[in-house]
Amino acid sequence: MYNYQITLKKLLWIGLALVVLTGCGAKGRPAEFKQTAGEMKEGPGVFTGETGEFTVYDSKKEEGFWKQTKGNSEEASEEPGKDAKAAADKPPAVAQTQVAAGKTSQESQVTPEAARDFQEFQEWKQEQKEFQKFQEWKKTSKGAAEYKEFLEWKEWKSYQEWKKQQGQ
Amino acid sequence: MKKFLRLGTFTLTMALTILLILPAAQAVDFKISGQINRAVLWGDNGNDSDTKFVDNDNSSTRFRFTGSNEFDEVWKVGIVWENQMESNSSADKNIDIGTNDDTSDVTFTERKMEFYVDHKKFGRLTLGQGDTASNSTSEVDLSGTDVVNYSSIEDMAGGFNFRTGDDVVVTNVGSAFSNFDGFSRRDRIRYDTPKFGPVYFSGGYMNGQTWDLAGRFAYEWDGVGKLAAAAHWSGADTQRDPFKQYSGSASFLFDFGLNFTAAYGGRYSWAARDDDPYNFYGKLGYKVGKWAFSADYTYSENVDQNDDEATSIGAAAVWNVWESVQFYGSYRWHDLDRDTVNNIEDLHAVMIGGRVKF
Repeated sequence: MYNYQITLKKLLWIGLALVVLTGCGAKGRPAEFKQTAGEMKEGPGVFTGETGEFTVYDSKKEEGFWKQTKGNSEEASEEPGKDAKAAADKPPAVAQTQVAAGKTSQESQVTPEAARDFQEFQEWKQEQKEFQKFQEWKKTSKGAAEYKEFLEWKEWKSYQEWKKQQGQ
Repeated sequence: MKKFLRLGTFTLTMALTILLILPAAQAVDFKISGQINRAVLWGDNGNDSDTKFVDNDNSSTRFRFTGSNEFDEVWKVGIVWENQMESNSSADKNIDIGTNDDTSDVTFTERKMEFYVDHKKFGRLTLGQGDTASNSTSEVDLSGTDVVNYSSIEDMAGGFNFRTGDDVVVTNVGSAFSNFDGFSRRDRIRYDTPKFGPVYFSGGYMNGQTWDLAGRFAYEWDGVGKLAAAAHWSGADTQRDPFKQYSGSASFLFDFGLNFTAAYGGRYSWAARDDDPYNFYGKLGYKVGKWAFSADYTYSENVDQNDDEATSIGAAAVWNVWESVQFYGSYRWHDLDRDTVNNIEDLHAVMIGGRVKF
């Protein structure tokens, strides 16, 4: 027959220990309960990096394996631009030599003006990208609330200026 | 091969479903992860000794798919699909000292196939094959050595048989010990409450009309350490599980590395035993740098047969060489006393291996 009294005593001791600990004045907070025994290893993975998971898709981080691939190819495609940018900052002779050392015949014909144009195009593209992100953020409930608050703040600032002008 | 093809098709289908059907504005994720955990297991049963190459069942080789989708920042719906793929499991009942063959071909077994609906205020409801509410309640362990050494001691060498001095098989380690850790993973419905400070509660109902209740606790004190604890009770007493059962465990890890773990569990109202079976487990550990060390003690009574007394003492070391890779070693001594059998030899086991997350 199971002895309830013994278990009760044990529970009381555990409870007492908890009370002593909390009563000692050590500040604390609830922690996340994580089962480790029998479970899969936590933390990074050999191939999956810091997260320990191969992310097929994550809309929060806007990442997925195809995005990484795309990212890499974009990076690769931006490389000539980077070369060109570096070249544009240098004297024409040096720039021409460096650019000519590139792999394609097209790259070897890039002039400093064309490089600057390309750089401006890249910057414009980046701005477009950021604007697109901002538009998407505005659509989220958090973004919408914050954007509304921003508009109200702007309105308040205009009101203050108007009030100041009235005073003068 | 067909299994892999089916697996691939399923994965792609699931990923595409999540990506194409759901609106892009909602928070969606779909991830794959897994680990390989292999070891060399040496054993000595008093008559013979042997070396095995096993999958460490303390934390078996597996892979899993997880995905979730958030709605209105309050609701979250997710899936977990986790499979175990073991070749020569260290807990397999057919892996006795002296058997030459591998236990069987690779076993591809289910662990979790479930979906959940989570609400920030009302908690989580899970349906499918997965952890019962009571699972792991006697296995809370903050020692950092649970990859090779925790209260479920039969995971290390469960198939090794106790034998008499005349080499007659008595029973195996897996049958002689039990930590009465709930109902493992089953097809069930489970509800988890939201957290009330450091505590939350769970309840489950499964095939065979069995039900279980559990509570879990985790708290940390600044500059002192962290405490985690869990307990369960099931009074179902059904045809499938003709007994009532309880278990609890707690583990305290000081910030400077010293840690204590204890677990207690038992079964009652069980017609199969004259006296109620129970188990006690205690562990002392120390974590320093990339290393974790521990020594433990287990005592089980009336588990395999009436009046059985099974005792085990173990020691373990784990080296977290890199964040994704760890190597470990463990020694365990097992002893069984049975009134009806004389001269049962002690069992010794040593496990050395590594776990790599990929």
